[in-house]
Amino acid sequence: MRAADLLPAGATRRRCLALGLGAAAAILPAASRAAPRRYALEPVPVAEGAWTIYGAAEPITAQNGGAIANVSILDTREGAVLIDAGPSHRYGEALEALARSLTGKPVAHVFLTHLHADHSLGASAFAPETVWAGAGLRSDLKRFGNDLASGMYRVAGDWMRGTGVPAPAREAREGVEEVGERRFRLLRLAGHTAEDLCLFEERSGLLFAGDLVFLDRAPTTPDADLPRWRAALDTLAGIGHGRLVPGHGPTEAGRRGIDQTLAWLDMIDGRIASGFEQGLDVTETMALPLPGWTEGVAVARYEYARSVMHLLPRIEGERLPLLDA
Amino acid sequence: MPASPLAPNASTIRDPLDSPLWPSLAERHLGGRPALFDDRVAVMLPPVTEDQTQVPVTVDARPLGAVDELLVIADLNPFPLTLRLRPGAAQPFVGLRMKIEQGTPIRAAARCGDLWHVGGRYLDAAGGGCSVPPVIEKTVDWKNLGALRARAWREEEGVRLRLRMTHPLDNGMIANVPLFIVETLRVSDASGRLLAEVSLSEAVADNPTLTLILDRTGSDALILAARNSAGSDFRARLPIPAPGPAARAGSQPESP
Repeated sequence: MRAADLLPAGATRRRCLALGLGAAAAILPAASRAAPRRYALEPVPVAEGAWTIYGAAEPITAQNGGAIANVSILDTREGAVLIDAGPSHRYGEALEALARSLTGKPVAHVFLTHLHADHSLGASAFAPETVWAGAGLRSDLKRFGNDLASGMYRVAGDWMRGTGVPAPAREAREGVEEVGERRFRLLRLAGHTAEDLCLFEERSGLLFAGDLVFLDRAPTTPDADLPRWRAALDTLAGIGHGRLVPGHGPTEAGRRGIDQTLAWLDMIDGRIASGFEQGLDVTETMALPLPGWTEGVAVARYEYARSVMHLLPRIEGERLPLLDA
Repeated sequence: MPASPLAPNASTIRDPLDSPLWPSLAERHLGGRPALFDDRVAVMLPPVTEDQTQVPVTVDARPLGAVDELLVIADLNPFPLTLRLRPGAAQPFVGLRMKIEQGTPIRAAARCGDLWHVGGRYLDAAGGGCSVPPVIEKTVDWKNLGALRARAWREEEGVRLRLRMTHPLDNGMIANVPLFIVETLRVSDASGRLLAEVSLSEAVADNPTLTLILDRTGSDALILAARNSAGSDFRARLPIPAPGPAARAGSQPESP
């Protein structure tokens, strides 16, 4: 699929949301805030028996309910397999219903790629025995899950109702998991967060890269380790995949997502290091111009500003010379 | 962004941020002197509050020329007065990180003689920077308490100073954590002449990180002296590099 596959889907969903909320407001202005939100999930085929629901190329807001990440559904003889679960319990429920209607089977397995709320918290709608996560993610959900959910309740509000912290009962290990006729090669990588699970499905050639790959949407860095992230992208580039489903952005054959993510990491790294070398503080470094090619990348300036807040203080703590007392 | 002094409506006595607390804050902190809202006092904020315990704020009142003192005030914080800069021989400019309890106007007030010039912007935030323990358990580096990291850049208009001090800024509002903050930072030249004095409040973020611009000086070093609320003194000497041509060229390779 080209970018066009993403845009109409996203645009339609946003239009639906706007219409739904607007209509409620016109009839019941006082009650509209408490009106139940519904995620209108639109599956787009990415291979035979495989669909992706594309997230909006936006920050998490009370309007989009946190539905900004890509979530995929694969049909197998043993049941539906999900890659990530969306941001909330309500999203997870809608996803369950959609998987059932697409495949005619219940959800057998849910693989979580990483800790971030827009990918993981929807797993609270699934039985823990069906949910898989790497060892690092399982312990991070225990440690930080509550804070993650609290943060999402603050930002996305009522969309989050009923969302708890997922406790995946299955540990995703490096290696191959056979599910019915499909073979998932699991890769435990890191860099976007402390642990990023990628899945290569050998039969379809689909590579589910999680948030190690962003395409036409700026990467996020709150838990990033840039050298490890670059190394992980090298690993992904060597798999020999067919089409790549990024964590955010359109599905494409080839390595445009890998290359664009690498170029973005180099760009922010260079800008922030240059801001530091010039003696600029955080808000001054945020104001540095971005290269022209980033105009085609959604929320580029917003994510660059966030990355300055994540990365410049680390550089200061390491590279400002320590003075003798 | 620099506002022209001649722009119409650049100055007004009506609070552009329409904050109900401002009149009482002005009464408390501006010493009975009149105040004017003035676009020449710029407050730079991030587009989103990423970490409410470390919000970067830069204040730039250089279009006013010389300023006697510069205050940073957050209307809706438990400790509204965040920082006071007395720029004896420094520019009216400061970069800092602060804690935010909730969405609030962030002000800067610059005093020129008997008149305050006030600028500011509203910062949106979700709540919890001051009275709620940090999301990820805070670790205090006691072993390096008071360690100073700093660097100076000689620029056309003066000496840019960036410094970071390893020190908690515990505001006393969290159970079982007593007040423990850095109260003052004094920057002098090698001969001991005071160039700038900064008073920090409970609202400044842990490991205070500041950017200042000192007036041009012939001195080859800066003396940094900080004092905390326990009365401990921390001092360090920072050499100022000789003037160099390539300081801020800022060119870098572009990725496709």
